[in-house]
This record gives sequence, C-alpha cells and structure tokens, in this order.
Amino acid sequence: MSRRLVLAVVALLLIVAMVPTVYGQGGPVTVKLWMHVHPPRVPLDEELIAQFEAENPDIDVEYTTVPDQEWDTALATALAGGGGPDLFNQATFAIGDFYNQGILAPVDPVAAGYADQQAILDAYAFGESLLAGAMFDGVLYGLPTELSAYGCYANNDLFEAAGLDPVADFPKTWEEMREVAEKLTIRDESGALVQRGFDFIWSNSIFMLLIFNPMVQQLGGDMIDEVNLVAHIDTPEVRQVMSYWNDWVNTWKLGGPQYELTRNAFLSGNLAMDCDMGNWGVPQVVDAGINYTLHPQPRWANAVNNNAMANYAYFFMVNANAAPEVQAAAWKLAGFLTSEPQRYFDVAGLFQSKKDFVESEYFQQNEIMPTFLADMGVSKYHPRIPAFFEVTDALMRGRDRIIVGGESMDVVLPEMEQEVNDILARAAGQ
Amino acid sequence: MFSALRSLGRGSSVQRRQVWGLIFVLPTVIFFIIFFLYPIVSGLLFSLTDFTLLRPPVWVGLQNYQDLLKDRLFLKSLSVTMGYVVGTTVPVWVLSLLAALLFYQRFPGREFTKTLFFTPVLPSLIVVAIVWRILMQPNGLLTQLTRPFTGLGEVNWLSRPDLSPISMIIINNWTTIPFYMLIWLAGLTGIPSELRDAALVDGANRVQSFLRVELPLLRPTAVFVAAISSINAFQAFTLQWAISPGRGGPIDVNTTMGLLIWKYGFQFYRMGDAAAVSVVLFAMILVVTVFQLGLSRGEQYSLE
Repeated sequence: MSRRLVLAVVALLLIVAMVPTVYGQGGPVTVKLWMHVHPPRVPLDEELIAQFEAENPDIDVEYTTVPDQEWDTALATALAGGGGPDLFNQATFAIGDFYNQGILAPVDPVAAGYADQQAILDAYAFGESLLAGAMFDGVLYGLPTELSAYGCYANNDLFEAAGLDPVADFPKTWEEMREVAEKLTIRDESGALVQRGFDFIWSNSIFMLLIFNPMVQQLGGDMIDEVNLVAHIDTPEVRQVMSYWNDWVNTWKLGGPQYELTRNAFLSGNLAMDCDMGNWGVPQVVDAGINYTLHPQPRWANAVNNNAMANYAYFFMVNANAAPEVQAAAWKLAGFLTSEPQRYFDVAGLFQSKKDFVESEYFQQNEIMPTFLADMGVSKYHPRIPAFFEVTDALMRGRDRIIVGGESMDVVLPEMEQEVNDILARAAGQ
Repeated sequence: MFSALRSLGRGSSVQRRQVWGLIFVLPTVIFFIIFFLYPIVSGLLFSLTDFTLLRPPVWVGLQNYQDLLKDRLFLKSLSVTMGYVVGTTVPVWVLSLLAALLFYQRFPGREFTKTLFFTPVLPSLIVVAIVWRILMQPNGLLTQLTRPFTGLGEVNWLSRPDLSPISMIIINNWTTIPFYMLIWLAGLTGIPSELRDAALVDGANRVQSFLRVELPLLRPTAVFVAAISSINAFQAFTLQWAISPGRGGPIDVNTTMGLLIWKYGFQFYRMGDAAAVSVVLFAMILVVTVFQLGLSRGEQYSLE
C-alpha cells in the first residue's frame, strides 16, 4: 500500500515538473522591456503595449521604467548578473561599449515589420545619417525612439533690452557669437557677471564630444577616428577651438565652468543664448515663461564642414543573450512602438524622423522642428567608441588643465592625445 | 529534525541553551554572510578579474593591482584622499572638542545654542551639498561675506583647483563637527566633577585640570572619534560626486578613492579595477583603524 502511495506521489511530481516545460514550448514568449522614466511617455507606452499584447496573444511584455540617473548602473548590473532586459531603450553614448562587448543583437527587419534593412533606412528622413548612430560595419543594431541634436535658443526679451533683434542679430558664426554675447553680458560694479550673453556647457564631460568636437569638425578636424580608434588631438583645428574656449573664459571673461549650468541660467533668465538643448527643451522654456526664438548652431567663418553639434539618440536595442524567439518578439514590439511617431512627438516631445511624419503638413507647420531637422541632417553622430565615458573624462581633464589650470596647450594636447590613445587601445583589446 | 529537537529536549540544560543560542543568532549570522561576507569575498575575487560588467569576468590574477601602481588616476586619488582625510579629521577633532568644552560650561541659552549648533547634522549630505553649492556661486553669499576682506567680486570656490578641495573640507567639517561635539560632550559628562574639584583644590588651574585630568579620561572617546571620522573621511564620495565640477574635478583634485571606485565601476565599465581600488581602500582603512585601536590599548586611565 505504502509503495503504491510513494509511486503515485513520484508520478504526480513528475507530471507537475513537466507542465512548465510543455507550456513553455508552445506558450507565450515574454519580452522584458526597460525604458527610462519619462513621465509623459509612460501612459502612451502602456497603452500601445496593451494594444500590442492584444494583437499578439503569444507575446507577453514585462514593462519596467528606470529613473535616468539609475539607468546605467541598473542596466549594467542586470546584464552582469546574466539577466537584464530583452529590449531596452539605450542612449548612443555607450553604444560602442555595448557593441564591443557583444551585447547587441542586429535588427531583425522582418520581425520589426520591414522587408529588409534598407527598407528601414528608407522609412526615415536622413535615414542613412540619422540611423548611423546604431550602425556598425553596415549592420543596424537599433530602432530610434528619440533623435536629438542641440539648437540655439534666444531669449527675445534680453535681446531687445540690449537693443538687439533676436532674429536678425542672432550670431551665425562663432566669431559673431563673441561680439553678440559681449553686448548681452551684464556685469556689476565689481566686475562680477550678473547676466551672460552666451556660455558653453562645462558641467559634464560628454559635451567634449557633443559640442567641442563638432566645432573641431567644422574646421575639418576630428578628435576621434572611431573606425580606427585613434585620437587626433594635437592638431591646428583643436588648438583653434581650445583657444576660443580659453579666451572665452580667461581673456574675454564671458563665462566659464564656475557659473550656473547654462540650461538653468537660461531658464531663470540669466543667460541670453543657450545652444545645448534639443527640441525636448521647449516645454521647459515655455513653462519658464521665456519669450524665445530658435536658431541654427553657429559655424566658424572659415568652416570647412557645415555640421552643427553632434547628433545623439536613444534606440531600442535587443539583448544578444536573449533566446532567438524572444529576440524576434522584441524586434516585433520595437517595430510596433516606433510606428506612432506623431503621437510620441505630441505627447512626450520625442522625435522620430519617420518620413511619413516628417513630410506631413503637421510637421512642416511646426515652428521649430524643421530647424532642428535641418541641423541634424548635416551633422554626424558623436564618436561611438568603446570606453566613451573614459575618453570624454580624459578630454575634459585636458580642457581643464588648459582653461582652469593655465597650462600650455603645447604640453597638454600631446599628453591628452597619448592618454586617449592608450584608453582606446586598451578598450579595443577587451 | 523533530527527533533532534526531541533529543535536545532530553539533553542537559547547558546543551539546550547552547543550541537555542545558536538558533537565535542564526538570522544575524545569515544576514552577515549575505550582506557583508559575500560582498567582501566577491569584491576580492572581482579584483582578480577583468570584468566589464557587460560580459562574464575573466581571471587575470594580480594584474589589476600591478596596473594600479602606474595608474595616474589611482595615484592622484590616493593623494586626494589622504589630503581630504587630514583636512577632515585633525581640525574636526580639535574644533569639535573645543565646541564640546564650550557647551559643557553653563551659560544662558546654552541648550538653544547647542540645538542650533547641531542642526547641520540633521539634513542629508546631498542636501547640504546643494545648499553649499548655491552659497559658493562665484558671486554668491560666501563671496559677498568675504568681499570686505578679499576685495574680490567673484571667487571660484568650487572650480579653482587650489580652492575646491578646501571648500569640500569646509563643507564636510561644517556638518560633522557638531556630531563629534556631541560625542565629546557625552565623554565629558561621564567624568565625575569631584575629580575636577580635587585638581582645583590641589592648586591646578582650569587648563591644567583639563590637560592632566579630563583629557586622559577622554581617551576612549578620542579613539572613537578618531576611528569613526577617519573611516568616514577615507570613504568620502557624496560631496565630491554631488558638487565638484565634472564629478571629481577640476582636474581630478576632488577624485577621492570612493569616487574613483564609482567611476571605474559604473562609468567606465572597469569593475575589476574598481574592485581592486576597493580592496586597497579597505586595507588602508583597516590599517588605520587597527593602529588607532592599538593606541587606545596603551596606558589606561580608569575611574575605578
């Protein structure tokens, strides 16, 4: 009797143990999706995910939002633990690291709803250049959720108070920028800056590749060769830009790293021109009650290239360690979520350059977006290199040695170049 | 299991107490293993690997430690940390002791003043940092207060490489001195007034009474203050992360070892190097703490 009971229990346990396996083979696929916290976008994400699940009963979506400041740490530690999301919305800054470490799966065009990769590129305005942010060796590794580049905002009231016309007098070259900024700068009796005309953004090292390097590129140089992973820093072009930044702080005394962050200063009415916000800055500027106009980025008078600041973007990327069926489901979801560019623009201010959206009357009549798109179309992405943040850290250190520490460019630039080359060599070897 | 408990029930009372004692400490032991021992051991193991966070670690032995010896950022962070430790310990010990001696005296409004003096301890360090960043704007309140003495319209408290580490030390000490003052005050309160009175009767003045009677009896308090303040100083991270330009700048003058660990681990994806720096920092704190505790085992003064 007891032997029969034992056999029955064992048989029952075996059946129970087999149930998940059988179910897993034919049952729904679960896609773990991680997105940044961007409050206006979350309800739309949730609505579209519910719609996607209803249309695809064989796919479940686990939707997780992660605060911006925790994103890098959370994603890296999750991936390190062998888990992490199957589909995630990642900025292009560290994409070189992710690609280099084999984390990224190539886009599955068919699963995403396209005939092939070329069809994806064709579906976007400036597709070849704007999707280049997720392209390595001719293979696409992401679908864009937000394309961005910085425009120049002018505070019309501060311009008019200085007797300037914000449209006609807005500087078109960096040489003019100095003259106009000087007219808009107000100092108190002790010489302290009360209002800045314009200033660069000094706070974060990434701006060395988002702002400083594009100014070098306008002159025909480029600090980083992302294909060969080589730095070219001790060059005449870098010297010209570095001299300009140095004079801005130490000779012309128009700004510097010691002052309030430019974005905050512009929003509080203490900075007349700000050139480091994308179209996502518009709601903040409007909320701050600032009467503004938007302008293209200045170029050098002797510019060789017509690029503005560096493009950057957020892309849907798929974890290469996910199971093949999960990857396919993830690309299907990514294709679905990127099929509503106008709604994401309306609700959350996120720009995807889908041709049907960009060519719509709605977009063409927008007061600012054509300006952003025009600059984006002629600009390049920041270098997509491994050890991106380590390189920007080294560049910022070199900048500060010259501008804050007063060291000679003759000493610092060759050392910067060597340091960055060492970092790139080590990262390439990993 | 049940038979073991039954046999336990038949065992001697000493055995029963021992087993039950073990059962009661088990949660703490498990907690210690999971949250202290495991992270320490894994940190040690990670320090022996090339670990980018984005793919599994690869064993490299002592290579990370060898690399640290010629790592410019690490060597810089060592000197920054040592400077910060000196700046946030010795002045804090002296000033917090002086404050404690002041508040040990009776004067009108003492309790109110003491409460007011203690308030910088209450907000979190991140809040303190943000408030001080506003005060330390180039033409901010601090510049205006010092203008009569310096004649300067702008002072770059946080972005001048020579001034920025001092600013960090000032902010830290502003918020920690009241805390250690309270510790000293507790130590002073524990000294019987008869001993002071006896010293005064024997002809000692107040300074002699303090140096010869009270200070030796404050030795355990001094060791506690020294150990805790040193450990906190070695682990400095929050202030430097929150308000130094470019997180550790300018030119890395605020890149403490704590900040470097964060940079290497979570910004540069060099977790193996970050773990190696952590182990070095751990060893440094251990040596300093053991040395300080060793001092307390010297000549003992007791109230017995």
